[in-house]
Amino acid sequence: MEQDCLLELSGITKQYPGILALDHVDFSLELGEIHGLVGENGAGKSTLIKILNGVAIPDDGVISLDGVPQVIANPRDSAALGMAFIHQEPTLFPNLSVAENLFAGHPRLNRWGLVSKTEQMQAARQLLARMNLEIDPSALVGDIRLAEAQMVEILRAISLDARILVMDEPTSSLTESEKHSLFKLIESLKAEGVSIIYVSHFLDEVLAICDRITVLKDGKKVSTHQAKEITKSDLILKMVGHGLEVGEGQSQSHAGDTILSVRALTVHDVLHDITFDLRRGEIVGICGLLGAGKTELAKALFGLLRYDSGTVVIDGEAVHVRSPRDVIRRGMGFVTESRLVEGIIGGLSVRENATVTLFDRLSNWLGLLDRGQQRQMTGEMVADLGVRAASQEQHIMYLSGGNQQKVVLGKWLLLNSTILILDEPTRGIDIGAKREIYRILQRLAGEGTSILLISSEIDEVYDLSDRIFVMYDGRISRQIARGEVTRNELIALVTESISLET
Amino acid sequence: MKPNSISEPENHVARAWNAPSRLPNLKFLKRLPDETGLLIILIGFGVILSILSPYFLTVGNFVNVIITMTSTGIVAVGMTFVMLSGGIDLSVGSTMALAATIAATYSKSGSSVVVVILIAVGIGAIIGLINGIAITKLRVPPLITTLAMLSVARGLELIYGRAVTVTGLGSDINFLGRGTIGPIPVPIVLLFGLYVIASVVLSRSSFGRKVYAVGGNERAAQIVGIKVNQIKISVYVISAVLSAFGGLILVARLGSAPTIIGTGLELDVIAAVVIGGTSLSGGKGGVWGTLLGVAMLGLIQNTLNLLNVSPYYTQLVQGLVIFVAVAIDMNRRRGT
Repeated sequence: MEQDCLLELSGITKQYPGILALDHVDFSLELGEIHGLVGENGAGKSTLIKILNGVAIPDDGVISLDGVPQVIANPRDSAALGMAFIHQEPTLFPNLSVAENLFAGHPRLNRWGLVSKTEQMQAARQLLARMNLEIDPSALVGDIRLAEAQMVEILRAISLDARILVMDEPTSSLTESEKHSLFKLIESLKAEGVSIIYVSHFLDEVLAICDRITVLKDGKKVSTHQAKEITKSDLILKMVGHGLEVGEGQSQSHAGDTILSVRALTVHDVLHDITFDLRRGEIVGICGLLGAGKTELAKALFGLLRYDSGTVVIDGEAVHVRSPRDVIRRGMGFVTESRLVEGIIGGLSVRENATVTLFDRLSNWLGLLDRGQQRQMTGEMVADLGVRAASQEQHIMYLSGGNQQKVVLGKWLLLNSTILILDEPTRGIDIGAKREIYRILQRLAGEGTSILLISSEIDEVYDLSDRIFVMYDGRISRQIARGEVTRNELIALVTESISLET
Repeated sequence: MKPNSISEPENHVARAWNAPSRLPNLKFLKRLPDETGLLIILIGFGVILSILSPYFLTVGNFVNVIITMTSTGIVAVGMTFVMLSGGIDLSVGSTMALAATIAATYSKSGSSVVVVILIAVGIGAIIGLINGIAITKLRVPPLITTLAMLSVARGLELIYGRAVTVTGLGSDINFLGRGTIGPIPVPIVLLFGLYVIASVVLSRSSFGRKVYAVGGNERAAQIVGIKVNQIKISVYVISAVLSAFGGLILVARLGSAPTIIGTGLELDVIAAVVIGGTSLSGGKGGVWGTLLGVAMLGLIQNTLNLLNVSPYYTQLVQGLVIFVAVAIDMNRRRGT
């Protein structure tokens, strides 16, 4: 074992002002090994990655490659050692072709010193074929799917002779089938002798594809395990220090009378004949593959996507939804899938982000805002949802993802929204914050709030929902009551996208 | 600073709500407004000048500088609104010219000062409305819309006024440019009054905070039900109305409306707003910074005057100051 050790970190320590981000962490990576790195947010995973990338410099400890101690002072050093980093969002040039992206920075030149497009295209085709990928090398990266772009990024690293790939949450934006192709690619890479450090919140994936798994907690290494010898619940136990199953004990149904009634909602080429009822206090989960129309349904209901036909009835009143205001007024709230792009308002404080929906209500006849009331309401929301921030006046950008999300949710609660549409509400936040959000949702439903929960995390939908809609190709292909199918049947229904209804 | 890069320490230091800080002294420093740096530079500037020129530290010189900058300062308020919302308005100079020329013509033919003001402001409002509607409904980018308006409004002014300076204005309009309220010149009262109002509107009013929200994240603002288009149209109307009003004050002070009035004004005004720390991408900044930016420009001109430097150098120095101010600001934000 020891002689195969490619990368070895020993006693790595990193101190930031006020916190010890890494405390004498040991870590080793063998040739051709896939080594999972797990832990809650703040456990030290990203710091460790930054150290390997040369973005952060350790205060203490030794990094050795092939048994030789190395200093990684900047990303250039890191690349020279054969390390490549794949992040959640690909860092590619959307305006250039797949082939140009693969060879960006080291283009294939002809004898005149000009870029040889034919040679480049050929090399790209070979590389793609070697990894069994069906991606057109002449397509613009901006036009291909996110999952494909991610694979292009991985291939770019390979074409640069990377020996160690560090993948940070590579699957968080991928659908089930895309994940599958990514895992196949990872297997091919492993077969070629590439070693991979795989960082992910998705423990099932980590358990499935990794050889060994190292758990970090509060900057310390807890343990390293052979993936075959540890279970998911043990892993979670090691990560959080106390056991949990997501949504432990399914929530009870509190469903009352119908509050939202949608009939034959149709958006040309996107949504077809969507019909359903949502009852008071009910959580309806919506799952389906990327492109099934989940987000589009949410946007159509919230006035962000014009529908061509169909009716929406809220609390007995037919509403022609043309803008968010039409439904906000009737008690609907929307937590979008992309927190940074559509959720938080970066330049504003926690207080203003929380009360932005209430600006009109909180202003007097001169149009001046009542800051005292803003503070009081924000304070209540913050206490209620357990938002952790230094103060109400802190810029929301500086909160962690989970706390930002709580504020985004909280602003609708302050408006007393009775129907919440949540699109991927726990994407990119750690397990602890996820559990808190689950608890909040269950409590809200118990208090009579109706929730449409759109998620690509089957567990989350399965555990929280009173009913589940499976969407496929812009339709609700299946409506499932609680307990009607097992978790695995639901996964099969979603991933195979076969409508059993017909 | 990217949110990712600090998310990790954040989790650890996440303190209890309202927990008392262990370092109250530093906290006080942090609470100083962003404009403090600029203010210190300005004061430093002033100290050096007062040594170089005995005339600098006289009331007469100060009043003179402020009055010279009044129109720029008024227009800069509108530009601050526009830039906070994430837009830009290149048409301010031409709008000023068109409104001032037409208003001056009415004044010459005997209209009262109230009518003249209403005409100027009305013309501004129409131009702002056109800009705003083109930007929101036709979705032409602000840069292009207002660039076109810069040309159109200037063209209209030349056609209307036949490229002749309007002189012989009604005497009642003089008050706006040369009158005094008590010992204080009217333009100065108007200028500071406007900044106080604008500051309250921006920092305390529902409308003002929505301007910041739209500039900070337009998508998110739309999703929480803010009428984004209405806010955007409003800021262009505010900008154009203040341009027209600023033009009127200038004309009243000069006693005539020269054809070239407001030429190149957009650059001075944008410079003042940017020096004052308002973000080019919107959502950050405010009018007090802008006022300091205006003061900076005024001071540069005054300095070169007092030191008998050829006015040809003004543009050169101004360009360098803008560059340095923005460079310092960008690096300060990225640093820390």
